[in-house]
Amino acid sequence: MFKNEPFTDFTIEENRKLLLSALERLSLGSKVPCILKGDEVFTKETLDSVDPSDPKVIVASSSLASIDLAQEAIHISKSSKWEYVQDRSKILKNAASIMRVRKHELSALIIRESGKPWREADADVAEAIDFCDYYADEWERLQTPEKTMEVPGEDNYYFYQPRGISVVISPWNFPFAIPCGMVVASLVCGNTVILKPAEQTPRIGYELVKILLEAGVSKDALHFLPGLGEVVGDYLVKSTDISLVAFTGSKAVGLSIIEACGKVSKGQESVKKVVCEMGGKNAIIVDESADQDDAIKGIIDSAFGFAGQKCSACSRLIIVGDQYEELVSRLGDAVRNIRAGAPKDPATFLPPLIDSEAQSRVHKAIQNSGLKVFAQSEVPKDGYFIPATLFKDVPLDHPIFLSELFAPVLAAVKVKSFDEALRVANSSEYALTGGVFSRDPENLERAKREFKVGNLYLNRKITGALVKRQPFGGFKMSGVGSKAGGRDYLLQFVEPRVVTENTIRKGMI
Amino acid sequence: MTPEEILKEIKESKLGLIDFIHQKSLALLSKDEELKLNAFRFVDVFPSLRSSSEVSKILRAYLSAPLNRTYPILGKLLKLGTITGISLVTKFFASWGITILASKVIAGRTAKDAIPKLKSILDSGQGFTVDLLGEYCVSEKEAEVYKDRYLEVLNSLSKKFTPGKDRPGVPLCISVKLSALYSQTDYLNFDKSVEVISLRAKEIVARAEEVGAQVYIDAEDTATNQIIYAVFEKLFCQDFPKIKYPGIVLQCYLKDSLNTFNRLKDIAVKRGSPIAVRLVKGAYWDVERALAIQNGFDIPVFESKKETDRNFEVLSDKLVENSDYFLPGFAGHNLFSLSYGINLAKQKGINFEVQTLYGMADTLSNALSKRGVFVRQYVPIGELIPGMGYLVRRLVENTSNEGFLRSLWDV
Repeated sequence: MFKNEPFTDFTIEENRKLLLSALERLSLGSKVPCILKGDEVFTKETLDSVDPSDPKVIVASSSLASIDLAQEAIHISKSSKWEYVQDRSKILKNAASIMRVRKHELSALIIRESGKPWREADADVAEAIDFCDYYADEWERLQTPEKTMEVPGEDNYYFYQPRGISVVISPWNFPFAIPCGMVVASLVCGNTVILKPAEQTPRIGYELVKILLEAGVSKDALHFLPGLGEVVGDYLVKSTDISLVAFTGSKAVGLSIIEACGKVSKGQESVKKVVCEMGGKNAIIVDESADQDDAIKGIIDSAFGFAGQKCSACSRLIIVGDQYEELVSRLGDAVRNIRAGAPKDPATFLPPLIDSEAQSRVHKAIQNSGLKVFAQSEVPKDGYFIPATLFKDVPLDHPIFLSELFAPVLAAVKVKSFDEALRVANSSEYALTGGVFSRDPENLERAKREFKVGNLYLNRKITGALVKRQPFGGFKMSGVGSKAGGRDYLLQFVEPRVVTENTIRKGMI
Repeated sequence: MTPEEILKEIKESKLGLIDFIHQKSLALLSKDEELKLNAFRFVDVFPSLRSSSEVSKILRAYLSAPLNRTYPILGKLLKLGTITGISLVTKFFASWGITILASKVIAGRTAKDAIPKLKSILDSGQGFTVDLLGEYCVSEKEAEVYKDRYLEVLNSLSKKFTPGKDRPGVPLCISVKLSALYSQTDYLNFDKSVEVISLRAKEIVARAEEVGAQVYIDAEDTATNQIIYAVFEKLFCQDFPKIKYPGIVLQCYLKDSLNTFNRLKDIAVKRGSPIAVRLVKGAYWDVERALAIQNGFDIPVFESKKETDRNFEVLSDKLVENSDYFLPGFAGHNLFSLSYGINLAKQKGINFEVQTLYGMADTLSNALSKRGVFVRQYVPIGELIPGMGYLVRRLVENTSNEGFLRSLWDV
């Protein structure tokens, strides 16, 4: 039976020491190659990934895959016999075991390369392990052909076949868990995979592929092509030979992938399937009956954890009624006290943003908003930091209230009633996560029905979905496809087939 | 002294009118699990509600279904009471009822309010330790306010009660919830947590020393306890090594409480003078268990009540055996557990006390006090909103199968 991988219990001093020593042991400045058919290929052109809290520190120098290498990867994949390998589920379980053994080492790398604080880095690895275990179980369930109905003299079987060559394009914000989830889902169904990791976190992607190959994935079924999205990513997506793209990232890139995949070129065998998870502009509603202490704690975690760089993060706060001033003022004080720092320091709550581009983009958005900042935390000078920022009385049509910033920026608004709160919450172009703090049973019931998002959380933070327990994903401009870590997810990576056999011969059934 | 003897006396003692109403209404609620739970949920949310229409709406949402099922007449009354126009009256009654419930277990909004009640405890030959309600602090501003409230309590109480010499913590004693002294209390922020909390606690302890008050440090959840014991050690080994009988809490429901005991003994040895230990079963059993299961951690508490009871006895033995280092305070309302500790301590002829919760076990406290046992009552002071968490926990305890009132009648 599936059980979520437990987080590391850092209340135990021994465990804190384990991760500290993994951080000390982590080598820096390593060279990351492409991997083709199991072979490491180093390219002349490289791109460095750095520690976002200390950009002088180069975590890895990554090869940049060329279009030639992408062509070769596709060519090798075509002749792969991976779909006939029987124990693919077992290989995923092997991978999970390897990850368990190397947990702290992987967390340490995530902390340095993506700037994730301790708890979240540990959760990233745990989620990757969960994806392996869960999709392995799911494939066990799906792989057995199912009789559709009992009819005398006729056998009807429903079963699945893989789609073919898949391309996975993954983000840097869950640099291990998200590529792992997309890659193993596709692999376990029998597809081959070409992984292009985020430019900011190639080394974590490399570790993932190494683990999967070590666990037993066929060398011709999994290739690793770090590189630029507009070069190798673009080429792979447009290739006539691929049949599926799994993508997690921004709305702009997601929509362009969907558009590109909609164009059918000459010689293309099948219509491309796109599994696409995009952004969110997620809201938390606090009504008049809410427990303020709980609400403030939940809001801080949801809006500022990992500096708001999660698609599930909260960036809109909708407060009902006269408690607005009191709540915003307490929240403001809490924001001013948020602990920012380098992620490798266990005490850090607010890490830097991923890169200088993100930092200057968000900095400009705050500066040019024309709004007065209500409360802001302090942050270190070096590194790509943006302070935790709270705006109040934000106009409902203001970009700060409408556009996803992917940053520790929260916009609070006051509304008169719970009706209005739901209306404002639902007015977003996105529909990913949402939350309500309330102790009014009627309001909670209404929220369940009327607050239309993929994942709704009542009286708790709105981030931190767990595999199988809270399958994750949204709709509207938040994505197409079913929920990651849920029971429908694998179905996107297969084609269903049905075989009907008439068994009546000469009067015999 | 046998538990049966005390039980007999408690059963024969007369209840005051308020206690009688209190007990009867809780008994009514306990008839139906959902009714009870929803009634307590309503109590929890009530002080945060501003308008009477809001009160009516939420009261109806919580109670109409279970009331109609269990007590249809009360259900009709509720329907009547929540129609517009009458809702103000309903709010008034709800407020009145909850204030009565609260005043039973919370001695007052401020130290000044509580003085008459504290005085009557001392007059009856018992002692108290004052706790300031405050469930959670979200900012440094709030942490400072919490600290200042303790300083203020010490000021106003020390004007009323002059220090005595008979026994530590009489007349003045306070219990401090450390996590509320720092908004960034977090085990991953361990060193800073210990540093900042110690700094603020130091001010409180220094003032307490000036006015001759004893200080107990309350235990909390397992994640916070490590910080708490580290602060306790720092405060009373480094900052105040000479202060008499600093108090700390040992929770018997924790599987690793024996290790904590050993740690406390080391602290006492290091100090070269004894510490006071309040031995409790533990107040957060359900939450500790639920969170451990949610996170996939090992469950830190014993799963059965029997194991906890047994551990209470084991740790009672340990405390009494090591009386050079400890002043034991056997806490709780379970007659059998308390008697075990009391008899053990009496046999050895050591100094000890019993600690009970204010308003939860008056008859028990009086019966023990009459028999020459020193009883200290844990007395919460504070406003309604931060007090609701405390009140609801007490209500749940009082109506659970293992609660004092219920178990007394069922033994």
